[in-house]
Amino acid sequence: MNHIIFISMCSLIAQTALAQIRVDENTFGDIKTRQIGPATMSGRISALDAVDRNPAILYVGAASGGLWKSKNYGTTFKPVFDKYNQSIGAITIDQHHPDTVWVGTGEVWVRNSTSVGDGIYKTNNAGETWQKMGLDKSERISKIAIDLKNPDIVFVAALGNLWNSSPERGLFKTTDGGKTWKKILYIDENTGCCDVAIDPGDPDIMYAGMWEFRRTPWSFSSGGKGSGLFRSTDGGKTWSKITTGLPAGILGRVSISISPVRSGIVYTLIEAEKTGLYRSGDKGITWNLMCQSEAINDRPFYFSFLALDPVDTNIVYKPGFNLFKSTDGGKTFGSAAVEGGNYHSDCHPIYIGKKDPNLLYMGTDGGVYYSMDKGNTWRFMRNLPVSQFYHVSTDMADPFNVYGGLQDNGSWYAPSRVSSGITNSSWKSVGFGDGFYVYCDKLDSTILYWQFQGGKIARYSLRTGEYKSLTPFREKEMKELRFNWNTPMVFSPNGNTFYTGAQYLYKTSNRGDTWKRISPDLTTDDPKKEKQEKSGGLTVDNSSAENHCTIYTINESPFDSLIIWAGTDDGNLQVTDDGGKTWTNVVKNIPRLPVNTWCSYVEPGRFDKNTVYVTFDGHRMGDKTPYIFRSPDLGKTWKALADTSIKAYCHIIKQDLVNPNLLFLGSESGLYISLNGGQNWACFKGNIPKVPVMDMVIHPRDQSLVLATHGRGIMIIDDLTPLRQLSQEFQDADVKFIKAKDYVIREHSFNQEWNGDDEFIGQVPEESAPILYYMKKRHVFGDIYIEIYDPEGKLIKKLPAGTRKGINQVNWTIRMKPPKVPVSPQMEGEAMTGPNYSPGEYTVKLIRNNEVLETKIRLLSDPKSIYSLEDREVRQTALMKTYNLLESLAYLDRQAKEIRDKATTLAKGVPKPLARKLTEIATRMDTLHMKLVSTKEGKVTGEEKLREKIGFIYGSIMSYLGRPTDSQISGLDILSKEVDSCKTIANDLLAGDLVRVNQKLVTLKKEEIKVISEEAFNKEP
Amino acid sequence: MKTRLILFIAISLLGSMACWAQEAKLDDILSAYYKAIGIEKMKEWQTVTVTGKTISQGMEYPVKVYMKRPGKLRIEVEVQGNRMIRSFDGNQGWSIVPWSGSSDPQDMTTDDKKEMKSQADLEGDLYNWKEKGHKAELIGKEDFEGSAVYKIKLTKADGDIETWFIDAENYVPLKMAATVKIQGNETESECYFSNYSEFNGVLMAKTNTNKFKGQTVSQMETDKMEINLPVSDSLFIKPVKK
Repeated sequence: MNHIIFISMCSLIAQTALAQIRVDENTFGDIKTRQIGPATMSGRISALDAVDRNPAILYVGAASGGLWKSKNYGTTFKPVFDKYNQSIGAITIDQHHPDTVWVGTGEVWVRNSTSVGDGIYKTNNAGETWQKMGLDKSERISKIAIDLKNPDIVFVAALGNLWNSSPERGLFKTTDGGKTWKKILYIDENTGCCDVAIDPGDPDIMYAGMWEFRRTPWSFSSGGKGSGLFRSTDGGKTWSKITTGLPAGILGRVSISISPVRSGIVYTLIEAEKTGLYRSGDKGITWNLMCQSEAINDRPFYFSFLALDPVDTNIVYKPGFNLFKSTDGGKTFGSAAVEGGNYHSDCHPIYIGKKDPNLLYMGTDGGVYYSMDKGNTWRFMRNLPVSQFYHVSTDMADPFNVYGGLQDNGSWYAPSRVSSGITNSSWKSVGFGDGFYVYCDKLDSTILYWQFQGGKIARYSLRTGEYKSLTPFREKEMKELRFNWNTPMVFSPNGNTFYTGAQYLYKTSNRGDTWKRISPDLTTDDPKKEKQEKSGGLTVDNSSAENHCTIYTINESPFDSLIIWAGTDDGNLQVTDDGGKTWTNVVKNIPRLPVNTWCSYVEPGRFDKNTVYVTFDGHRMGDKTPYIFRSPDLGKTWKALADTSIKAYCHIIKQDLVNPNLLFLGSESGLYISLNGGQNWACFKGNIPKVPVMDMVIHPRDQSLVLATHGRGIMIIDDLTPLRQLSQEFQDADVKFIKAKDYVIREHSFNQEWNGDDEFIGQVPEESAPILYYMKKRHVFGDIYIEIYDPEGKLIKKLPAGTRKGINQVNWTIRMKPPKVPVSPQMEGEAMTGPNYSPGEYTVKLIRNNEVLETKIRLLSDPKSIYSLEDREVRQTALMKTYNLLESLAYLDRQAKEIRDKATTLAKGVPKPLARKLTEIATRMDTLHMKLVSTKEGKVTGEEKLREKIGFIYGSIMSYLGRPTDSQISGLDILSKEVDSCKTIANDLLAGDLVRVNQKLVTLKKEEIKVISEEAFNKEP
Repeated sequence: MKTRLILFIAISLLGSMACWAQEAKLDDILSAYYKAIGIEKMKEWQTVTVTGKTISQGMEYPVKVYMKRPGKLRIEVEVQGNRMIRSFDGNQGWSIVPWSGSSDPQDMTTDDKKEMKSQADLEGDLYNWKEKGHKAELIGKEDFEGSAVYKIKLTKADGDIETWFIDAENYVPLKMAATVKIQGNETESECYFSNYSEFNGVLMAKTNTNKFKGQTVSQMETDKMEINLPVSDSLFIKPVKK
């Protein structure tokens, strides 16, 4: 209890002190997210196009993960659109000028979780820079067609808003390269243009598909009077709806494809009461029904794409749950894959090689695949980290693991840190279907919990690999349970109990074997919104995606397990302070929040049990306003926290664990941070595009912020402590140190893999101690650098300093300089790095022109090291002995070579007896040199002298933080004695023959043979 | 130095006013840049000898650079007491990498020579771009890590592209992003310039930070820059093989 009072006091003090801090997009400076992927399951691909003349150049548009370009058939990719909207609807390359690419934003496979676009963009330099070309309010662009003769004439099929009526939809045309647009085909505010095609043989002939469609939070409707196939014979000036040969009645989604071989042949896929594929052989005048099979019927709103072979007019590809192919002009369809077919289901765009029709690129709900045999067998592109997480959690392993579920890609976990990089194989799958919340049991790390859509919960054993279904069933005489597509499953912060919610809230304290209902129906229970079996429009589509009047977010107060909050998708916000006996709907107290707005997240305060933060998301009813509120009194009164910098609807808000005014906001368009309790926000741009941030967790031990992005996988800000410290004091100072977290020297693993260049590898934290400071303004002129002093006050390192505005981070690789080694034609690879500095407190100075700032940084041994202190000390002693032995060997070799070279030179100009002596000395020293170090040139000489032998022991001890082997220690002793005996040879010469020779040289007025002192040698760089 | 700083402030103020009044023009920006760094003074430089170090993955390697007009450049990097040498005489280039299995000089590839030629240009590729056959265009003004910068795209005669980020306040380059063709493949890299200090009347960045895919791969620190020391032509001539 005292602890709570203390935290509350801290909170009050902090709130007073920090209340005025304002942030902007440069405040966070060098603080960046680390993207760990995964790419192993990739994510939903909505569009792609390749250059016909050189299909190695490929653009891939992700549903919510941006635009990627490959110039090598997909071996490597680069994101080329990170500054802009990340939901891609259409990509069209101007094939006559392939550096010009048009990109329409807003995914057009309009599932419940789809994102939103903001218009059309163009590049004239192959993706290097982009220009916004308007249609800002079109929300979704489904196709872009470029006139074959004049690239400034472009037609854009704008689908328009999914969730509400909107006038900016239909077919648009520009004749000035996108400067101005004219709407040339428009039905009404509910009907969008879903496809457009220009006859390549006669560009006056055009086709357009119009589609009436709408989502609400509780339904989807495909089809309406506005839908239909339209044809123009005057380049789009006038249009007529085609009815002859096509189905009568209400139509749904329409797709069009013109044969690249013979433009008179046109196919259209039309959703209707009986969805069918139709073919025209006369430029769209008459049409024949070709097929109404399962291949054609797959979810028409989600799979509406046709691709025609550029050589054979009878080959038609139809993506659906799987890829179907017809070889008879669309009469019959079979699987394109005969020998293969191990690709992700749910196929969307396809590109067929124009020069080589064997080449197919295909985008699916799980990334991009390519085939070199017309779809028979497939390879996966393992390098597109566009994974779409819904949620994320972590555990207390060290390094901690990250768990999460993804759109159509199940449930996964992976370590947050792997020395050699987080590869696709680092990720382990534990579930199937669409994945959501995934957790590790708090008490038994071999037990995981995962979900699939519609509230299906499972408990998974890592020991056996089996899972047990845990989904609660309704009690007697109660209504059927309604679970959201993305059903909450949330652990209590106060124990190993967890909650899930249908319309009722359930709690379990025995890992899901028993559920206790702790609420009445917390939703509006509106029967009009509970007719999902009728959802879909023309084609029933009831996947649980439209389940409504359900609990969507749950959280228990960290202060009081009796205080539980639940937000519902139909706009209720309920709270109990007696563990569920009584509930109060407090949503009515929130000012200016539209009724029934979806409650997307509730975050009980971490510093005060009466405080709560909440986000609402109205985009499913056409309201994209960011709604963020805070209540200090359990929901009685509320304050709105959104400011104008926030440009998108909101999914989640999190309060920091230490600084109550530090808030993190996950929006549909990136991460926002506030340092003053939500009075002002700034978009966080550190290595994160404007991707949806759906969930977040702050790791309580590592102080990391882990983000579940819906389009770019998991991202981690490794250390929040710099953000926690930012106060007005920092913003007032020109430059000021930020206290860095103690740096733990860790053991690291080693592995050797040569996986090629085509695999995404997740970033790992730099193995270096961060030095942090805040600068008000960029430092441009004059010196700025960092000095590091060891605990004894000795200067050990000078580092270049960061100079940017905001937080600067300089990474100090905590290693001594490598040992000096005798010079050889062979690199001594084992001695390329120096030992770590010892744990202790080091002084850091920032020198900025004449100003000196000072701080401390502590290096710590890993408290969880598996090696005893004694073993680590034995290692350090042996390592430094080896280090010093190499350095003394380097000096000895330098002495030998200097004497050898000088004696050889002097022997040429002195009387014969002295010359003979000098030559003999040179030979002795050369022999000594040859004993010390390898001297042969060549790549694989295998030569091992003292340098190489000592170097091997040095490398062996370096690579392991525990006790060296006895053999290493005894071997070191033997080598040390050998070095001593070599030193004796040199010392005997220096004290004996060389003294006598030098006397003779003085007599002859020649230069004496002197060698560099050890002190001077050590000072050399 | 103080006078120069006052001059920068004056330039900066003038620059800001100009921005309000009209769109900054490429030539004006480049003139301000040349004036800010004192490029006229640089024309008196016949040789430059740089002593410094390169830092990579926490390790430091001594570096010595010799430059001599017209277009000669020699870079020496010391690793474990061995010197790697890259040298270019304006036409021919060679290198010695002692630990590569042979200490004989090797002829440079055309791409390496192209890079050396660019680095040997004391005033930099932007200066007199028209005479050099390059094409420069002002892309616009944008934010770069909290600093307003002018972005200038330089398409070089050989097709390589350099995008320069010129500080709109002080008119010195803060960053250059390069797209270079090597072995027929385009590769991208970035160089950040910081710690501007005066050397013989010319402002030079003492720290150059090289990044690849956003990650720092190396930093070059200048400890000493000596102007017009005697630099023998023999440094640039390819030694005879052993």
